[in-house]
Amino acid sequence: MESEGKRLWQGRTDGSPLMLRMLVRLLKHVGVRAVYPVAACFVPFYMIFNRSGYRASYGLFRSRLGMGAWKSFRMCWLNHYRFAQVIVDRFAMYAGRRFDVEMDGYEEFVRLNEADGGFMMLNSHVGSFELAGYTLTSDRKRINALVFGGENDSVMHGREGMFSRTNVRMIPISSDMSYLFVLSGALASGEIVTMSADRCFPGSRTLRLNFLGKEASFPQGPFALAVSREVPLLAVFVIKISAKAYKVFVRRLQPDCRCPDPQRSLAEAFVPVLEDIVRRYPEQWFNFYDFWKN
Amino acid sequence: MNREEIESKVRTFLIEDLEVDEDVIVPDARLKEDLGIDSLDFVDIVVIVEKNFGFKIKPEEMSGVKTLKDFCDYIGRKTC
Repeated sequence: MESEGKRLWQGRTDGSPLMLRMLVRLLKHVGVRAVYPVAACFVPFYMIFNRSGYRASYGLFRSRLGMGAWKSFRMCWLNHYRFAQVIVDRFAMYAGRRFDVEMDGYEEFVRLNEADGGFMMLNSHVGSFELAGYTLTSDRKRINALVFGGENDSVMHGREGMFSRTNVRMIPISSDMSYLFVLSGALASGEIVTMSADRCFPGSRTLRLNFLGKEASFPQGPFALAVSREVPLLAVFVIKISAKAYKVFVRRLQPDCRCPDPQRSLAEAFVPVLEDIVRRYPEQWFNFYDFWKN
Repeated sequence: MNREEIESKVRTFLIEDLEVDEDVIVPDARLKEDLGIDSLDFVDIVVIVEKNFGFKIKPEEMSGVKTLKDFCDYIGRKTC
């Protein structure tokens, strides 16, 4: 049986700091298209040696999306390759390169941004949400992004460089829960909070919801925060649509008012939106662990 | 607001909002271990304290708050 530790998110970009710094330097001189073939060479190694990641990816296509064995294998390869591309793109951004961005539902962001009061943007590990931090910016309201505190220094340094030009504050997740006070205070001050709604931490409360035909655990925290502060919620997904372009999907979450549990109701509004995106772009689902394990 | 009012309000929201068992609400009860207050409860507590006592909890001020008595002392200091 797979250990709980393996199932849980490790949250750290692979690669030594030196290697990641060299990647940023390289991408200052060459385009992402030149680096993608190199990234593709690593994919078979990940598929062979990271068996739990491979099994999780294969299971998504075979069991949850009902694809045949051969197609599931091909999609599994594409899933790993797309992940490598997204990582390369992220470092290309740190190196100063820009991507074309299409918007779908941007008016929802504008509406909430122009209104008084804070709001939350929930994302998932589909595509590259980090790019939203550079495109969905606001002059009126500071954006507070909850990030994994143990991320590689090169990634954190790159993010800091990028976010310093925008109105984004990074809040690292900490074990003493102080980040919850910060996020709650930010919403009370009419700011924007953005966080992931698909990763559960050990000991944290979860909601079991039907996702792609089987029950999966979703963190209760993001929904509890929205309910306690009575703020509106957006689901935001940033999907890679070509080598040089991404598409940002913004959806307003409308909870069922008849549901007696408002947190569950919000989560139930989030899951179908996530499900729709995953069905449309299954190769960009980047949760390489058994998401449906209880 | 006097000490009794603070304790009464805290007791009420612990029972009604956080569904803490009435029997375990004693001054020396530890917030996490004895009352079972977790991170999500703290999210609610921040909002409840704002509404009931009219001040915002600062994370750095909560670092020494371990028991219910500490918590009531903290509210007392902020509301005096």
